[in-house]
Amino acid sequence: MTTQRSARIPAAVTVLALLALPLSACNMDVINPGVVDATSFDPSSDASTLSLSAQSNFYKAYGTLIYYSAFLSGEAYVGAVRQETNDIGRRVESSGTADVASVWNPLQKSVATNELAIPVLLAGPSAASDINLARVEMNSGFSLLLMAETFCQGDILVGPPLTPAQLLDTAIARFTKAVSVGAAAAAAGVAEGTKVVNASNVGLARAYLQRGDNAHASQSAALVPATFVYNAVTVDDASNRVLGNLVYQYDIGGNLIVVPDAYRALNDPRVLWKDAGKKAQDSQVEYYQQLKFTGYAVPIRVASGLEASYVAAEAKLKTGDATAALALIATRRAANGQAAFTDTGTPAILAELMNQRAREFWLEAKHLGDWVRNPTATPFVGAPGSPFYKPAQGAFGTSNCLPVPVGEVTANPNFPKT
Amino acid sequence: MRRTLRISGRCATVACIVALGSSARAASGAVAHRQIGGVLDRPARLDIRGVSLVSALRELADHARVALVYSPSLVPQLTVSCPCAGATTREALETLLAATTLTFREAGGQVMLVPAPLQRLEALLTPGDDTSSPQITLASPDVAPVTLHARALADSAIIVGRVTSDAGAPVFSAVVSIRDLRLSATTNDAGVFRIVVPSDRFSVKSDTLHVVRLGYSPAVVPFRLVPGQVNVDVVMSTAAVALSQIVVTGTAGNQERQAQAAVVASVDAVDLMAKAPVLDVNQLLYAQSAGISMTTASGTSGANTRIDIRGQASISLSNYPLVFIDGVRATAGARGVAGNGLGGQTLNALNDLNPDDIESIEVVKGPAAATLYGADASAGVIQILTKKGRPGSHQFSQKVSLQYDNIDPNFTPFTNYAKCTAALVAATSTNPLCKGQAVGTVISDNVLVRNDVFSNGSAGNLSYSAQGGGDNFGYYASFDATNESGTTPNNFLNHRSGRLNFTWIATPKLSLDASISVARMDDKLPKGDQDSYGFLLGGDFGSPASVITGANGGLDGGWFIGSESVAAIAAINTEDNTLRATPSVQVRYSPFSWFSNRITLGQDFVHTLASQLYPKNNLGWYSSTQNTGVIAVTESDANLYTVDYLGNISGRFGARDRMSSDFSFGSQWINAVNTSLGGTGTGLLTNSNDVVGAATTTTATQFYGQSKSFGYFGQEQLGFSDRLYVQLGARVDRNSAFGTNYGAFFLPKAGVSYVLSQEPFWQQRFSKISTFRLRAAYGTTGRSPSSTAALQTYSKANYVTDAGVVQPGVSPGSPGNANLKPERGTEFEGGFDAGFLHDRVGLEATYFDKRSKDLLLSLPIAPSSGFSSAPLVNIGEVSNKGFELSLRATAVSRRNLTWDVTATTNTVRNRIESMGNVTPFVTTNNQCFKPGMEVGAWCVPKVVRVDTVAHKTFVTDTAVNVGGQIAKYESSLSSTLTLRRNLRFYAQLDGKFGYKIYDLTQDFRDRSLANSAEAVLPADQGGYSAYERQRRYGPFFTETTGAGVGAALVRDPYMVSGNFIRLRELAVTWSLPTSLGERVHLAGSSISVGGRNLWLSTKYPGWDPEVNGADGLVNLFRADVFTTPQARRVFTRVNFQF
Repeated sequence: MTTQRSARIPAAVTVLALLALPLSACNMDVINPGVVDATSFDPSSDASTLSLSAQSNFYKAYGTLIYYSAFLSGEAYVGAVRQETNDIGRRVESSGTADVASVWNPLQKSVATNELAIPVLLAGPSAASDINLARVEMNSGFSLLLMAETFCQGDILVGPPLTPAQLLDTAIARFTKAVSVGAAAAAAGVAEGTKVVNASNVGLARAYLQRGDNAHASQSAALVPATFVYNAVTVDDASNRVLGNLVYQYDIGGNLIVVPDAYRALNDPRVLWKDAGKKAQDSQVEYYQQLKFTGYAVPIRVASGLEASYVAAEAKLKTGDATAALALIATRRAANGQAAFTDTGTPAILAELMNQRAREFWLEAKHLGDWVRNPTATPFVGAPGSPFYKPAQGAFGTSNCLPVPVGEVTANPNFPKT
Repeated sequence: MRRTLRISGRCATVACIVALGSSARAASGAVAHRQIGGVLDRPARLDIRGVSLVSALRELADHARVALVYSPSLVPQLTVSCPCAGATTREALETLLAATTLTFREAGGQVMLVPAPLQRLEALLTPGDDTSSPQITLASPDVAPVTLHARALADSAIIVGRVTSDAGAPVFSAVVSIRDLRLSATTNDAGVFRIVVPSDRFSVKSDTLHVVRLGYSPAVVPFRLVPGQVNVDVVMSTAAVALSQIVVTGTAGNQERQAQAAVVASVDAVDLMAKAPVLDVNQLLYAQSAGISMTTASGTSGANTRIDIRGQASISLSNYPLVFIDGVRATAGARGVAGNGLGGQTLNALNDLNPDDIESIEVVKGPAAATLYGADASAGVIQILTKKGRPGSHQFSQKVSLQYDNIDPNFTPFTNYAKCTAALVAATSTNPLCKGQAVGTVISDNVLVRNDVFSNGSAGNLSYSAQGGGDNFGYYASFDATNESGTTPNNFLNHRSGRLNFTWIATPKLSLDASISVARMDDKLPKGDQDSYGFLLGGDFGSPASVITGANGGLDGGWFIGSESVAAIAAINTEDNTLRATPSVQVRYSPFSWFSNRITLGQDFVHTLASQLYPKNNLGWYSSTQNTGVIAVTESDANLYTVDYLGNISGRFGARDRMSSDFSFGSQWINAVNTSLGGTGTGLLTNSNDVVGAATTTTATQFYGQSKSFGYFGQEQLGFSDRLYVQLGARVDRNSAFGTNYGAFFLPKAGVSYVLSQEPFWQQRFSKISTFRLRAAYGTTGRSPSSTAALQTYSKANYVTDAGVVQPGVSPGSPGNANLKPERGTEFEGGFDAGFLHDRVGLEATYFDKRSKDLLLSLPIAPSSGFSSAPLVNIGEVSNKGFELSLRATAVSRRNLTWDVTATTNTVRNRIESMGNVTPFVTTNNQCFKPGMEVGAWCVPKVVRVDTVAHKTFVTDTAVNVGGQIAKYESSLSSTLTLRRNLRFYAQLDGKFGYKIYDLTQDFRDRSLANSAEAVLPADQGGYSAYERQRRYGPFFTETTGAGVGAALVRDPYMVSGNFIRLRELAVTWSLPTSLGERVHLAGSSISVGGRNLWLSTKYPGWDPEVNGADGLVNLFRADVFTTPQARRVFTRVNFQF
């Protein structure tokens, strides 16, 4: 009897289990709160978040670009041990050099997030004066401007390859829109509107100058107040280091940015450095540490009235009017302890203007654009074929812009494949 | 009246019989085919008259070519006739034995003559004679006499005996069972077993003892079950081909190996533990079966081990096989927080298990055998079967094992070189090596040797286990403690584990297995590989130019980072504290003889607290932030729940029950929940108050991920004459990770197994091949993506306002893929198993063609899209094809000398067949993904010409394939030599060939640091020749366009062959002689000494070509990145069994 009773119970259990198992399987729902499902975020109803997040992507891209641009343009020696970084410093990088993607990817992230936000915000009810729209237009403009100055080619949102001139044209369009919407916002009482207008005018001036449109460059630059400054805001937040000053972070994290001999020799208060008394990360070059950015919270200048004045001076110089250039040179030299500049030839004035720019905007990702624009007038750039500062690595190569990285070429169907 | 039936003869067990005829001789070697009806249906071809029964049997064996085995003592002196020319063997035997008390039965391909059924035997005894005990004594010179004492020892029957090999050596851990009663026992190290049959569980009858052990032919021993002690000794034949072996993994229905169409590898864990220097589970799998490729990440104690079965099946998903422990899905693979900078030093969850608890491991190599495991098994399945108690044994055996390992780093770190500069030689120089020397003087320093960083470590292990059982229950309990100190100052393992397995036979129809294992692992690993605070990188990235005079007048400095020191690196405390519990219950219910059910419920719970502390210091050891004290803690839980049901309906039908049918069906539900909560604190007041909450600045992270899968399956297995088997099956799976547009996943399978050697014609035509089986199988499984792979997501990306306030923001995450489905792994495998020389030599050959279709590829996404995560798409196909050969041989089998040899080899040809619309690409890790190439093949600009005159090195214009990472050939050779039954020598060699490893260590030292001997020294003192220097340093130019190429892209000189042969294991074990052991109650005790990684032959210029320096970080990246080579271990182990 016992055996029979025992047999019945498991038989029932078996049947129940057989029935229960398929039933339990009907529910395949899972919860994954660790990700933001696209369906749970409405970009149009949270325009501010979208716009400010995109702006943050620009800040991150800008900090990273400064770091690599400094090596390529000779503003800094490579203290890193990474061969890829050294190849950029030596100007022999190519599409497959991993560090090229390290510049491209965040810059494209900035372009894409700002560009993707534009149609969303344009569809908003008060687009004509929406500061969120003005902001993304401006930051897209700066991103495209930097791409044009740094890369030999570019593209927007997986589009076809664009020349630097085409990128500049698009940047100009973005800045122009930012100016108009920003002005409307300012008129509507939004304080940030004025900042956007001024910054965008600096951007416009810079883009026009790089494009070779000196008249428009002068025109835009003239609209910017002399004291205006637009900074990338940074914070010293251990939990958000990516929102800090990335140039400082790259440097302090590994002794990577080494102030070159030529800059150290300037003895200029605009080029601050110290002898750290040790080797850089690569154990080869002495670590002369930059002191321009001394903390995570030190802001990074993006655009300024000072830059506008330099743009205007250069633009006018190129149209035959050296007055502004000489005046600016005189002012800046005097302000920084240099003797008066006496040369009067245009090439020399341009060279001095570029020399002053190199000091003024050192580690602000402007020197590369200067060099591209004025290849013979820009100082502190290692000549092709001259010895690299790490002798074992050979001589300087010839590149003056970064190639589009292989990751974009491969995945973007609009790029021709070899 | 006392009546004794005394049967004189040599023995009475089937393993100690006289075998007749050529086929019988073959059979005596070990063929053990289960062939009810098959052999007996052979034509007798016998026509005799008036001959002795013994002669008649011999004639029958020869004419029918049947392995006819019996004890001569059982055969009466009779004269018989049999005009049986047209009869079957069965009919002939019935005729010949009609007048005897013998009957016959077929087992293992042999026909045994056994005592008649009970009623016939009892007729010989005198009923009611209670004054005497009938006794049957069967004497044998080799084996202890078998004595059956009836009515002795109260009312129970106690079956005792000893299991020995055919060479006379004790066979330990053999499972001896009386199947009808579900009673069993395990032999101890002396080969002794004991089963108690309670009085209420038996009636006096003839019964059968089944004895199984991996590596031996199953033995089937008839005996008479009577009250009192029954001695039954068993001799087992070693079997290089064991088709009767039961295979548990991936099978349903008939589980005999001969019925399985696909190969399932079995690893005899007990045997390996007894003879090899094994301290963890991964070591049990090395070189045990062709096609299972093991790669230990490094020589750091506790480092992860990668397991690849039959090549690389997936590109974007893990290639690690699924792991089940007694049917319960278990967490496996790399474990640890890679973000802690441990690089390839992550731990391995498989090593949480105590290898001493494992009975055997079965490895399902591919989809052909793994279909029933569902849509995530295409990388293979590892089924771990733990030791169980033995109901009915009434035995309590204990085993204590003590082991001590000496761990020798067995390498010398590289010496760093530099040339003295003017500043270094100046009078003001702080560098004692250069000061006062001439500019250009070459100096050297080995900072790691100077500081004795790598020194001998040690490991100690104490293992205790108890096993036994009562009337209807059995138990196995164990405790294991291992302490290990690695070869660097901050490398410790501290493992404690316990297991309790309980078996309860509730009724003859219902049984239950319940088990729980609990393990606690407290591990400390050094930072390693690519981390600048790893000892190897810190030391071998250093330069003698930075050496200074220390406070004690000796040398100081010389590290990669100026502030580094042994104390600074050792003070970084990286811990992994894991508590793991794996409870499970398995209920088996067989309401009818033809219907059985099995339900398995289980959970694997892994709770880990991983932490890393940079202690606060005022010595500037680390970066400025880290010097304030940084504590990072991650607490994570990985839960796997398994609910599994399997039903089986079996039966026989057709003429003479020649056909068998096993229909299996079931379902499986797996729920995986992974959570983690992490915190980082920066800025500690004191190092003793090193919790996150005590820090000045704190941050937190949290993760929650869940996935579910559910599958139904069914399988029909038809058997014809127990020699031809056909399997058809399918499984239907659903998984929460699939895209919304994808429903269920249908996985079919089919297979056929044909034991040709059991056909009547076989032994006539191919008598030298004692066993031969052909098999072919086709099956499908899958590999499922992660739980959120199908979703379009945003990533959290904080932003900062103009006021400097951090706010939550968003950034495009993954575009997702609503059509996402699992990879479909399909595999065909075919081959044969053959036995030669009476199955003393076995050959297993398999060809496999495994394809991963609907390959999940992490679609390279253009950065300009804005998305940060590449979506997975089902596209393309990868194939893995190859041959596997296993040769097992008992080269010598004599009383005092046995020699077993096992050799395995396999090839793997991995190839990307298609990538759909995805453009071929090269990753930043220099890996090619292109149709026609191996997955992740190294692709770099290849040096094609070195012009030493023009001082130019030319390379190909584009990256080309310079070799793959997957070993194309792997071989192993293991050998066991046993002298005088007590002294055993064991050795194992293995090697990998046909792959290239990226020697990133030398690349960095040559070019980025220029501190290698080759980079600094002149050619005549060990430096590179002018040619070689230029090959490595350039300047580089493209072959056709002449464009300059960055040195970082030209890694061709550092992609070097990793071919190697390693003496993996060498050990000698001396077992206490049985007679002496029994005298001191320590039968089966032993002592072993030996070593692991004792010798390496390779042309690889680095320390060790077997390392995998980036393991745990990326899916496939075989690189030596300042990776600690594998250590040489010498061990001593003592086993006490009592």
